[in-house]
Amino acid sequence: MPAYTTIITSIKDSCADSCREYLRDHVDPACTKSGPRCSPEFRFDLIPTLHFCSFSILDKEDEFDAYLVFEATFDGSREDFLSDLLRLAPDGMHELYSHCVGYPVSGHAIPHITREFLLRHDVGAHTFFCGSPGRSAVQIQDEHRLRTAIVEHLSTVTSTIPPRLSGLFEDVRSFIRSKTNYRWAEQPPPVPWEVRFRRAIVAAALALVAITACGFGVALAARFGLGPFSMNRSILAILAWTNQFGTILAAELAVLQNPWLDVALQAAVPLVGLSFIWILIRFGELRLSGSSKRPRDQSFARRFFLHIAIILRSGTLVFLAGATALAFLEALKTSPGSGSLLMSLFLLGVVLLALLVLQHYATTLKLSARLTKLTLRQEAERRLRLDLVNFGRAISVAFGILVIARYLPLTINGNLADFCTIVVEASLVIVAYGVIGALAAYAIGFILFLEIRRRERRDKRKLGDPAELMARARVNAAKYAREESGNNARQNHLASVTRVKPGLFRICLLRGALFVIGLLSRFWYNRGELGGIPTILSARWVLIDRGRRLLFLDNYGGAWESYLNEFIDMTAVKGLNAIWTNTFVKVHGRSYGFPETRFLFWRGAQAERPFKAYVRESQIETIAWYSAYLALSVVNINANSRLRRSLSKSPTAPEIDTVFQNL
Amino acid sequence: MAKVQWDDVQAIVLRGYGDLPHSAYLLWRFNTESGLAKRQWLATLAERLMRASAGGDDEPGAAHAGRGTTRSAINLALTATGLQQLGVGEPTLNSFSPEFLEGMAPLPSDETRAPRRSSILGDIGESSPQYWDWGGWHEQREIDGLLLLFATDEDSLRELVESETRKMAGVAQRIPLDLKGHFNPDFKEHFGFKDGISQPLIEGAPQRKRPRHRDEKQARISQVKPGEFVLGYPNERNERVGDRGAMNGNAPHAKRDIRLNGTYLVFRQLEQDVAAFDDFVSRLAAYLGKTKDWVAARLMGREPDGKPLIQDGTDAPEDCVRNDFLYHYEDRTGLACPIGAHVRRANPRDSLGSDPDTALRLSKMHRIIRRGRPYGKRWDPSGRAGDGEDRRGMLFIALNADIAGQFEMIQHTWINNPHFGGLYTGTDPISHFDDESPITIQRRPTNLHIRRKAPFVKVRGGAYFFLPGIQALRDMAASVPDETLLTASSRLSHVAA
Repeated sequence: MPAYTTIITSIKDSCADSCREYLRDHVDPACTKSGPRCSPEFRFDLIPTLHFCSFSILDKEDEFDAYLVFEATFDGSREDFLSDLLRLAPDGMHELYSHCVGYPVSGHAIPHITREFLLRHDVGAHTFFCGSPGRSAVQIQDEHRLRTAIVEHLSTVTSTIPPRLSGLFEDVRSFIRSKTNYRWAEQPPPVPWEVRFRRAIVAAALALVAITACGFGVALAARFGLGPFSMNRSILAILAWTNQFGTILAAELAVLQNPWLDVALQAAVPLVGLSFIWILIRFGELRLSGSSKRPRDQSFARRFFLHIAIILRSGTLVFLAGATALAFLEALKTSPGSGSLLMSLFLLGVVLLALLVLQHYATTLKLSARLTKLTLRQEAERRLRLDLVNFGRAISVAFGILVIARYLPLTINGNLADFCTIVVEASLVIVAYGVIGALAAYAIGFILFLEIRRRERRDKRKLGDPAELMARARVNAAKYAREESGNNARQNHLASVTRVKPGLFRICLLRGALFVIGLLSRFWYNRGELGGIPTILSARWVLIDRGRRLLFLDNYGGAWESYLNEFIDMTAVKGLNAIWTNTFVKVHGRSYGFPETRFLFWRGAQAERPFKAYVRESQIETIAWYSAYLALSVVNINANSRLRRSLSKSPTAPEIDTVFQNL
Repeated sequence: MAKVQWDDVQAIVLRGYGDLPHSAYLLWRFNTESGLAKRQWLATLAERLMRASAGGDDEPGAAHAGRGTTRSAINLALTATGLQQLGVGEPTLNSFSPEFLEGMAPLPSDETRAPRRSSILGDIGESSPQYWDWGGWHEQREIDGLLLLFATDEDSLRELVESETRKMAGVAQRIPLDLKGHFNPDFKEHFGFKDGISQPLIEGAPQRKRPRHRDEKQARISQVKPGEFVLGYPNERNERVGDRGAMNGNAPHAKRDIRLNGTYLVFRQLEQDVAAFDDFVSRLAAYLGKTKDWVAARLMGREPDGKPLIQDGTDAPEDCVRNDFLYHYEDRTGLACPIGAHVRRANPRDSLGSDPDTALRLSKMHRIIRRGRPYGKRWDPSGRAGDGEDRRGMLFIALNADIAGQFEMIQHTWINNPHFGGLYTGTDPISHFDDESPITIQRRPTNLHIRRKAPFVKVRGGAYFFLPGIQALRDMAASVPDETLLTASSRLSHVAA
């Protein structure tokens, strides 16, 4: 992860305009034919660790002072970066910060005093996202040069050597080896631990969640006098109850007088009831999940109950395993049962055959998604079938185990059997606590969401409709005149400031959302995408003015319009809603809310026009902006790294093909 | 879902008038004084305009009621200043989209920096509005309206132009700018490609009856909600423009929203340098040892006869201009149709992003209906050198409900974007924008990277128009402008200046 700093300093009264002028004339890099040219006072290009930086001004309004906001993303420590900056731009920084309150007069002569001043005003970020974590600015630019060199080399070489892929790849390698300035590329780049252990971290997090749920369940059950032993008794009672399904079924079918069927049913008694429940829940899920993947078509009611169904279904599966294990142990304790060995062998054969058939069917289902284009309806059905097949396999295995158990010629030591039984029962108790904990958490969540919804409705009444902001398009246009032209042709900067809705509830909600998104962007969205959006280079959210305003600073690739469309139409809209639904903007004394969300995550930004008008209203002008690699997109950066990594591996022919196709 | 009142929509939304190959585009400024005359002219004109319901098909040979009688067609579009001249006041005007109000070529605020809109459209360098013949920064900057006239042959077109110009005598300020476009008999544009194959199908629009095989797949790919092309109906995001807005609250009594059943019309004059294109293609063909058609097809993304570039085996040979193909499963790497080729950029279908379904759904939010026609004589390769006067190109017309989200978005995020679809360099080889980086053509074992000296296309003029519904025009003709209008118009012209 690169380091970051967000330095916010108050501007002296009536100095805001001259400060703005200074930023425009002396700080912002000029756009020339050959690319951006930094001003002589601020040679950002001489700081090799710098990724991005920007300056903007928050105007004085109501109770808030005018602020100068300096944002930078860089490698290494804050102290080193600021020292570099002060060394390379001593006069510029002095001139600029002379506009600010509390700037030490002696700062020009003694840079470390200025540095202390800046560090004191650094507010960092509450949430930070980076599109290419773990790569330094130098590495990003070097890897791009490497790619360019390889492309140039290939264009000269393809006509002279036979176009065999492996030969061509070897040729590229020897080309790299022969150039001293590219030899570094033979070493694989370091990968940050968050990326390397991504799956392990997620597994650990899930385990933690499960443990928490169990703990919560224990605490809750204890309040209702449900200790582990009584819990165990209840579980056994429930299992006995579900066994009745099987027994009843067996009794019903006993009239057929078929010994084969009878044997099979005797073995299957513990499975029937739970299987029935599992299948019932799974079909219920099909209804809840609907046939659409669009975030736009989802709703709180469906998602909420879908989650509960998934929890219950997983619980049922564990209980099924537990019931099988208990029946197995029970059978082992008794002597070999009645019925012929031949019959059980036949049943085992049937089970094996069933497993093979199911295996074949599962493979067909898995492949069908790759080979043909499925509609969403078909896809939902395919998933259902796949689940049923997998469940069928589990049941078959369980059934096989039970059949074996009934005719296994050995009996095990009673003590060992008892011990195993206790282990199984204890696991079931733990899982039961987990399910209870999870359901209780969802119940609390449900109340929380109702409260959120109540507030959303109230805010809609109280605050102005953001659709009215659309009429201010022309007024706001001045703020973003720099976008998509000049230095910003390929990368842009978005600075936005919104007010946080008053009240403890809102600030907790906002901080919670920021915290979760911070965790996600560090440990899950660390491969170049944030919720499906592949264009964010680096973004940060900062609560300023003691949590009364939210500052958002964002470097992204491409144009504003398409960037916001991605937010509106992808999954990321949920995170976006969860953050900004807690905010509003004020125009001429009138407050306008964020487009109304439903249950925190839904609608909101999906109301495209009001949302875009809201963003434009909240936007502040980026007065000076610098990027170290203007011509690159996040996709490019990550593809360059992949190219470099492939050089230190021995890829197969299809892999080499992919590498070359990406050049 | 609300049914579109096609009877109130101008016919060009549904029809390309393939049976009326000759067309003229009159661009004019209104006379500022003659308010009454303007409204009278508008009132009669509104009744002469071709409506979408009058003939829903331009497929030659398709039988349709009233079809044979269509000898000519008229449609009308207005710019923001044109609406204002017809008495549309400030609050109503503000309900239109900002890019329409600002216009295609706003004046630069300072010398060093092109305006944001020009950068978005790629109108820089040779294509800068600085050099435009009309609608740009200097020559004939102000345009109020556009009359689209279509006729079967040149003579009847001339008659039509004359009669319409006569009727505008007291209304238009000066002799209208008259651009002539025509379809060639083979529907090929000047670079030699069959044009206008891929058009979005509007859901619920009156359609030809003949059912064809593959229609279902075609519909899944190309069928788009009416709100993407007609204002007032649900679009792909299931939202509609015009259900609330300026008419709400600001007007003393509720009036009909004049945006209803209208749409935005983007008009651009694109000059094509056919000689340079031909030269580039021949050289590259010679260098690669391929035919000229092979090279040209790799730049365009379709064969000159319209056949799409799709992998062998997925093709059904009998139907050569088919449009029911996708990229994700068939051609993800671009080995058949290069990722940066024109048709793949202009309509990426399901190719952008990891999930083809989402990609197709998202790309449907950025479609345009194209109604452009070539202008000028065909290029003569035998080379009567020095016929510099003989200019040719495309009168490009796009219809969409959201200029910023459709036409402009296609321009900057797809056509002009060197990072399109994960690429590193290169913009659309056919388009007017060039960032001087080499274009990429996917190939085995390694990709081709080719530089072109200069774009083969130059923008010569352009403006954003609004294509109102018939009833909206009648309302405009019938309304009496109020006093606030004067201040409103002065403010807008202030912005425009």
